[in-house]
Amino acid sequence: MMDSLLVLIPVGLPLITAALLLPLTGRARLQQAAALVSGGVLLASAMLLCARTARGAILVLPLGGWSPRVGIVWVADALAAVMLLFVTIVSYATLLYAGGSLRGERERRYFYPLHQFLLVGVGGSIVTGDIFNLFVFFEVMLLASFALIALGGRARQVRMGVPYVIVNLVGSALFLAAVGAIYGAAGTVNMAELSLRAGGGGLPGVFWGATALVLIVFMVKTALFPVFAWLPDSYPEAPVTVNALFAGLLTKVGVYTLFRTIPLLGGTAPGGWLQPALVAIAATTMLVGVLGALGRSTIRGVLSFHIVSQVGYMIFGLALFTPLALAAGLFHTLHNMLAKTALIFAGGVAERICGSGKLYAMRGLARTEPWLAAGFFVAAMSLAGMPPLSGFWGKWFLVAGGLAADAPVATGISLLVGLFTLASMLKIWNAVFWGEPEGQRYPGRGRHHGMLGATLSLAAMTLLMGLFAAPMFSHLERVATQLLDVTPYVAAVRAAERREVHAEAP
Amino acid sequence: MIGLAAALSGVLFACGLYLLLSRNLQRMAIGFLLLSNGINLFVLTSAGLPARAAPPLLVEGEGASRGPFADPLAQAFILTAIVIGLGMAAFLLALSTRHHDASGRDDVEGDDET
Repeated sequence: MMDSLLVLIPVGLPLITAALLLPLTGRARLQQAAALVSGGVLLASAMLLCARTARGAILVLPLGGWSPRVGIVWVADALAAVMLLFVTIVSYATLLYAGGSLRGERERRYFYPLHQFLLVGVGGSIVTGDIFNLFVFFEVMLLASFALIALGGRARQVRMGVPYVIVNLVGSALFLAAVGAIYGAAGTVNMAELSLRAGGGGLPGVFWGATALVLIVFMVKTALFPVFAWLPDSYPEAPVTVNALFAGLLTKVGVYTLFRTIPLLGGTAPGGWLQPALVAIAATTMLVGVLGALGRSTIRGVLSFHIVSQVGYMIFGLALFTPLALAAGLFHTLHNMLAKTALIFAGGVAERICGSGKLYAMRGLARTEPWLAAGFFVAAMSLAGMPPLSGFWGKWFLVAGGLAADAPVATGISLLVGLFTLASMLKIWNAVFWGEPEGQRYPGRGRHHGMLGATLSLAAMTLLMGLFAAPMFSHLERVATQLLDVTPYVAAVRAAERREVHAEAP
Repeated sequence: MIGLAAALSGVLFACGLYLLLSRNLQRMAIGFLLLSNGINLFVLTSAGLPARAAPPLLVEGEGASRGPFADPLAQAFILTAIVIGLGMAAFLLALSTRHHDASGRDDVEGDDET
């Protein structure tokens, strides 16, 4: 009972909260307070789930009493639990930040319910064990994100948001087609069952074609090369809070689905080209992302293009297929959720003080806003991979994993990209924070406890994650081992099926 | 039957993609509607369309359906997808109205690099 509840809460609680927030439309402060209370409960339940699954337990919840072969199952293992924990941390920080950052009635009016709907989609995508159900949660997440990216509705923002909307719509349509083809070929859409049937061999080529299509759609959602172009133009146009929320959650859900499906389905794929292709894609993504970021001329433009580069690191860890590298990729994912959100938070405050997000429009913020500068500096150095921050350990483990798995070229590229990352972070630092104060047109506007508190707490968490890297990494190594050895996952889902049938018999 | 459905799905898919590549928001919305219907038909086809299939209903007293029946799960998928498609289409139309109100035009051009 307790276990089922733990699996249910990450989806059910935001859904109920969203429904409760809707009648409060127009009373933003009350909505924020209610969302914070619900976020606190969510955080506690995610921690409980982490503790419950830490020793390798896998919680399975078959919905509606159907056999998992035809019905929907929700599964929470250690990977899902740790992802949910970081998702709730980022979303909580965004709620704190939103109070000071949202501008005007138009933005404030619908943000909080939409934020909850986005969480429903994210939580559901993480716990579901069924690819059709994954499609549904993707759509929930997308529809909320469409409304959020157009929040405020400035002409330029709507115009730049259109590519985001269209690319994701086409992506979802292809995903649905692939799910249909998989169902036609394999007779089920349950991931555990699919993994078993794929491992057994004898599935037609249609199945593998459709699986490849599913992976391509996940790559679109993750913004991997060559399907990342929808991201760098649309993200910086959204309100700061929305930008930070997307940077912390959306592409990471794509990363999570790749981490979930590739060990389950890719391990038995014919041809053996999947792994080299993933390594090549990851290396190109890292490089293209960081070069694009260096070429941008606004604070959030640089930071948003950087998302692409960082996603490359995460997939590089996955592509090597060893527990060490996979754990490193996971560590990097979690580190990035914190550091990137903190950076966009800090960038948003700087933008507010200057009145524009352009680099070189303002200088000397370190002198006038030392706490903000500290938050930005810690997160930026973490992203660039300076010890003892979390980004350093993420890269360190990745390089170790890359060399151990005999992928020297991609590992070399990852080190080179680290250097470019440092350069682009210094570019922002020099342009905005360094030097004598000038061009700060609205100096008082950045002083808001919620905004500063959210930025500093995320920055502090990357520091803590760096200081406690060893115990965290050994936990992630256990997670990675369980993920690569798919049998516990498959066995847990099938055991739930047997229990279900048994319960129905009398 | 399957050949016909597959061909129709292909035609809908092609027309939908063609319209989606346009810069006119209303054309994009129509393109999305065609595309999503093409995909729905594709899902129906890929789950198999047995000739003269019976509805998937149990017959009283026999405990089983008569003869080959259409796969109900694929139809449940499509039902869900139709609802989601409606939501997405509504959003696209709202977006195009909003864009028209804000800019007085119906097409989106590329970045003017400000």
